Amino acid sequence: MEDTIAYIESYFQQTLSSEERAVFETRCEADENFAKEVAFYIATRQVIREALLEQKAQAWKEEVAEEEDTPVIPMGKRRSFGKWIMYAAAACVLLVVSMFLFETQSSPQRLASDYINKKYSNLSQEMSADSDNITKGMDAYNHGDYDKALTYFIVAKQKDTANSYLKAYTGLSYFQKKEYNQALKEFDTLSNMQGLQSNPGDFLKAVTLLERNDQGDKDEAKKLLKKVQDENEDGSKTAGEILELKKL
Amino acid sequence: MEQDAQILDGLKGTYAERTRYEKILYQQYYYFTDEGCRKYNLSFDDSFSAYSDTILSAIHNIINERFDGRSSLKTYLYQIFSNKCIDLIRKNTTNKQQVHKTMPVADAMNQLPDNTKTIMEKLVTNELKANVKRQLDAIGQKCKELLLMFEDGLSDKEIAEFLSYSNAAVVKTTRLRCLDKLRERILG
Repeated sequence: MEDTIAYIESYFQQTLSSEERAVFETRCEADENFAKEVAFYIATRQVIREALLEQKAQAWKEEVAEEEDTPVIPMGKRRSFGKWIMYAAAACVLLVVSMFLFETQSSPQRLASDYINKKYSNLSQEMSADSDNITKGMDAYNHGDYDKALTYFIVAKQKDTANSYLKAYTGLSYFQKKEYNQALKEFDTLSNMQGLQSNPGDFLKAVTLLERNDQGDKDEAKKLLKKVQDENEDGSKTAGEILELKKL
Repeated sequence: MEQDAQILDGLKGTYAERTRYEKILYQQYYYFTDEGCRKYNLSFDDSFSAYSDTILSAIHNIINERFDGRSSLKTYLYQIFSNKCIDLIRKNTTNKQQVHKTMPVADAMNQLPDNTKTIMEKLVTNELKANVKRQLDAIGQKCKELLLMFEDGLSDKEIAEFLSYSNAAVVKTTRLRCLDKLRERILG
């Protein structure tokens, strides 16, 4: 019967020629048993599509609700290409000088990225829901395949929209890919989640802002780090260390 | 507002990119739901269903290169949305007792010519669909996941990569076996 299903599928995948399609359609009208097979195929596709739609609509709906509730983090203005070259050249000079003079000294960015590398280079948290995709995602993440990790986390997130770890892991994958705007969205959602035992959302947001380093990012990061320190949130010790550097 | 070209490119990108642009597309024209309530006098739930279904159909057409780009994305989406609203009104008018449906008319059904479609509409009953729904859970999570991914527009090759199958042919065989397993439970 797999052959019949494959034949029916090829009709709906539009891989049959026009003559073959005509034969298929005539058979639906003349052969009752075949018509039932086609009806089963259509019904199945409809049911699966409804399930998929339900899953997606729920995720989209929640995303809209989250965006409406979430204050937007100001993005830096786009700089011209010429300026970027200038900045890049200046950065290179600064990098060489600073490596020479202050090799052992830390910067806020370095402390921040060290923290991420130390704490989140390997994900190991066990999950309850959809553990298969999450385990595969963590495995891909731990092997440095962040694109693949993201795919798994996104699929898992659609099934478990309230999972705070998944938001953190998705954000961390974006962070590792240097897609800071996307990472910030995830961490922002995470930091707005209520009733968690611990919530690294604000700290991760601050670290990402330091890495992105657009206009106004440092000020925003500083405010967040102070909040993390004052409210003793996740990452408060490192937040204190970064703030003590007085380089923000 | 994202530009059409940017959205179209994003939807044709990697799965992660696609998911991101699905959300952007969904949010960009979310105001259509108000139009569904106002112009077509639908309840919010019905208008929302028609809109979600519109987005999913449009995404599938875009991925499968069935959107020719002759109109703007907004016009294209609005055409689909209007048709879905009208379908929903027709369904609600002809059968007021009908249970609320997420999707007014399935895309598979729309591919058939009128004569064949009439036959299929008689055979694809709510009872058959309810039976499929029940049995879908019984064929196992792996099968269900595979079928959902295929319905989401992922190719067998992409699914193979994603679910660690050795190649696209294995995915296709497994997928057809899953359908056959389901068929056995329903048609015997």
